[in-house]
Amino acid sequence: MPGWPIRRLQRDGWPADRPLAAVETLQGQRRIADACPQAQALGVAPGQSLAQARAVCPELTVAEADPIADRAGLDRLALWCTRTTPLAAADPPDGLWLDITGCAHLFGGEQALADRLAARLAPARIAIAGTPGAAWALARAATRPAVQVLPPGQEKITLAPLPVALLRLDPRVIASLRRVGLRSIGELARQPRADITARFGDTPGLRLDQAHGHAAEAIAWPRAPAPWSERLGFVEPIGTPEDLVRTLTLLATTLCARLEAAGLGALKVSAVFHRVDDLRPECAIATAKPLRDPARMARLLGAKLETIDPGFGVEAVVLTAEAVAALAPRQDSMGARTPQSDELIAVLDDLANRLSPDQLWRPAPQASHVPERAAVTAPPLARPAAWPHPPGERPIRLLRPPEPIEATAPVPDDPPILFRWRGALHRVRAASGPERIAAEWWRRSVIDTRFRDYYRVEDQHGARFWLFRTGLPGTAQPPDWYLHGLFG
Amino acid sequence: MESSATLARLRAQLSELAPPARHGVLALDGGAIDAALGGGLARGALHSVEGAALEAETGAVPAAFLAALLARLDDPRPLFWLAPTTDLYPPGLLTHGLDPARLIQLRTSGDDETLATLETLLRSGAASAVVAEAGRVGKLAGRRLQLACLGAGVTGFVLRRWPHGRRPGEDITAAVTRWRLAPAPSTRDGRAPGPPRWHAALLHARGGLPGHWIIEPEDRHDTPHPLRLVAGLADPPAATRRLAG
Repeated sequence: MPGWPIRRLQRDGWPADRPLAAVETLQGQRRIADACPQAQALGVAPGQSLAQARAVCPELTVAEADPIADRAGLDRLALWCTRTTPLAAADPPDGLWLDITGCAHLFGGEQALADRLAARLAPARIAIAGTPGAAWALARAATRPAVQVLPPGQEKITLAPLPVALLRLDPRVIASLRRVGLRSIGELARQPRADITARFGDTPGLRLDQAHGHAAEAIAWPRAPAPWSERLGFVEPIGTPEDLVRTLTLLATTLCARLEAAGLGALKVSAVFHRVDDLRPECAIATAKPLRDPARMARLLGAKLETIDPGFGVEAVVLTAEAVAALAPRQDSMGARTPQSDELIAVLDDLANRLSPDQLWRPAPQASHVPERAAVTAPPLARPAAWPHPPGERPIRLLRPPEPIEATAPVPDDPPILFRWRGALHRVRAASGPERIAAEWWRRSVIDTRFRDYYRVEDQHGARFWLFRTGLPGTAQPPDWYLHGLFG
Repeated sequence: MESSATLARLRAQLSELAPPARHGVLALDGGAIDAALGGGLARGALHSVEGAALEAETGAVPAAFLAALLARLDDPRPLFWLAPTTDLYPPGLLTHGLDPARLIQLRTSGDDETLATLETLLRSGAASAVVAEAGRVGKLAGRRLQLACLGAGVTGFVLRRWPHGRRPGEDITAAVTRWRLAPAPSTRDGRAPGPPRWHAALLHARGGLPGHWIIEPEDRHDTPHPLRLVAGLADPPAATRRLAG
C-alpha cells in the first residue's frame, strides 16, 4: 500500500484534491513524513523541513502524522481482508500479509484474486509469491508490474536483478552492502555465505533464505475475534466485588442464551476486565463438559474474582467463550442415577478451577511389576479401569523414593532380624518373602538397574513394613536395605 | 430401678430430639462394636480417625481401617481421598477389598486447603464418602464439616496425621466418633506374619459408649461386616493408653 499514511488521512476526511503532506516533529524540527503524489509532483519530498516544503508549494495542506492511527487503520484493513483468507495481518508501516494458501481457487485462481483485490484496494501493489520474502520484494520493486503472480520456483531468478534494499534489511546494512558493491540480490546470493555472515551479521543470509524459500518464516497472524463474546460497559467505573459478580451473572445469562440458541456449550470461558488505567486483568475457567448454565458459569468465574485487582475501577467487562462444543439439551432419565451425575461434574469443575487440574486424578493401573510404576493417574472423569490383582500383597502406603535403612540379617538370603528406620529400632518377629522384582530392562535407568528382593516383615508391636534388599552378598557391592512401604 | 427407668425414658426423648443416625448406619462387626456405637457407624456424619505412636505419622493402619470400611459402603457415587501427600498406594487398597477404580484422589497444598475442599465435597453430595488427611482441625471447622455431612448425607472421615510426637491442636469434638488405631501383633503362621490385627480404641461416640477392642479386618469380602472382633479389652493397651493422655 504505497503512501498509506496519506491515504489514511484522505480517508479520514482530509481533502484529496489538494496537495497534502503529513508532518512529524523530529528532534525539534518539523519535517515532512509523507506527501501525496500531487504534492510530490510539485517538489515536496519526505524528509524536507516544513519551511522548505512551504516554500516550494505554498498551497500545501499540512496534517499531523499519526503512526498509531496508521497502524490501527492497517489493522482494520487486515480485518477487512479476512473475507478472502482467514490469515491476514498488518505489516507496518504500509503493507499487508495475506496467506492465500488453499483460498485462491475460491476466487477463480491466484491471478483473479489479485485482480479483484487490486480493484478494491487501488492503487495498491500486489504480489503473489511462494515465500513472504519474495512477495514483499516484488510488491515494492518499482520495475515490476503493480499486480503480479509469480509462478512457483521462480523466486531466485526473478529476485536476482532487484536491489538489496528489497530484502527487508536494516538501512545501515543496506548502505554497507552497497559500499562494497553488492547492489542486487543476485550478487549478494553469489557471495560466499560465511564471508557475508562474518561481515554483516546473519540477517542478510537469513532474509535471502527466507526469500528463496530455504528458511521458514513466521508471521504473527492476529487472532480472529471470537464470535462468542459479550461486553458490558459502564458510565461510572465499578469496583466492588458485588458489582463485578452481578456483571458476570448478567453477561453469563446473555452469553448462555446465545449458546443455547446455537446448541452449544462453553468449554473455556474468560472474563477480561478493562480498567480505567488501561490495564486488563483477566481470569479464565475451563470445564470438563460443555457448560451452558449461567449460574454455574458466574459462580466458577466468581471464585476467581479475588485474583482480579479492580484498581481505580472497571469500565467494561468482556466475557468470551473461547472454546465451544456441541451440547444437546438432555432429558433426565427416570431410572437410577449414573455415577457420573451432574453434581459430580459440577463439583469436579469447581475443584479443578480452584486448585490446579493436576491436583485431581483418578488412580489407574499400569501393567508393570515395578511398584512405583504400577499405579498412574488418569483424568477424574475417565472411564474407571479394572484393577488386576497384584502378584503379591501390596502396602497401603508407598514411600517415594524408598528410604534406606540399617538392617541386620544373620544369613545373607534371609530377612533382617532388626532394622533401624527414622531413628527407631524395630525387631522383626515375623517375615515372609522374598518376592523378587527385577528392573524393567527396556527402561534404562541410572539408579534402578538391580533387582530387588522384597520382604513383608512385622515388628514387635505388630506394625508391618515392606522392605527390600538390592545387590547380592559376596559381590563387590554389598547389599543395601530399603523400606519401601507400610502395610495397614 | 426407678432411676434407671427415668434414665431410659430421658434417653429415648433425647434420641427423638436428635437422632444420631439420620442417614442410616454401616454395621462394623455385627456384635460388640456395633452395640457400643448404637447400631453401627453413622453414615452422613463426620468421623475422626487417628493412629497411635508411629502410626500417627505414617497413617498406614488408619488408612487400612478406612479402606476396609469404605469397601462395604454400597453406593455408586465415587469416593474421594484428599491428602497433602501422595503416599496412598492404590494397589494396597485391593488387599482390603476396596476397588481403587471407585476412588478419586486429590493432592492439596496444606491443611487449610484440605479442609476447604473437604467441605465443598461434603456439601456437593457428589461423593459417597470423603477421606481427608489433615493435622490440625479447629473447633469451628469441625462443626462446619459435621453440619455439611448431615446436610448432604455424605460420610466424612478425617484421617489425622502429624509428625511423630508433635500432636497439633485438640480433638475434633464435633465428630460423631473418634477412633485411635494401633497395630497389634498377629498370630504367626510359621515364620510369616498372619492376618493383620489392630487395637481399635473408640475414644468417643455420640450416643454410644467408648471401648477398646482387638480386631482383624475381614479377609473374605463377601461377608456383610468389614471387621471381626478378636477380643474385647477391659483396659486399653499400653501403647494406646500412653498416648491417650
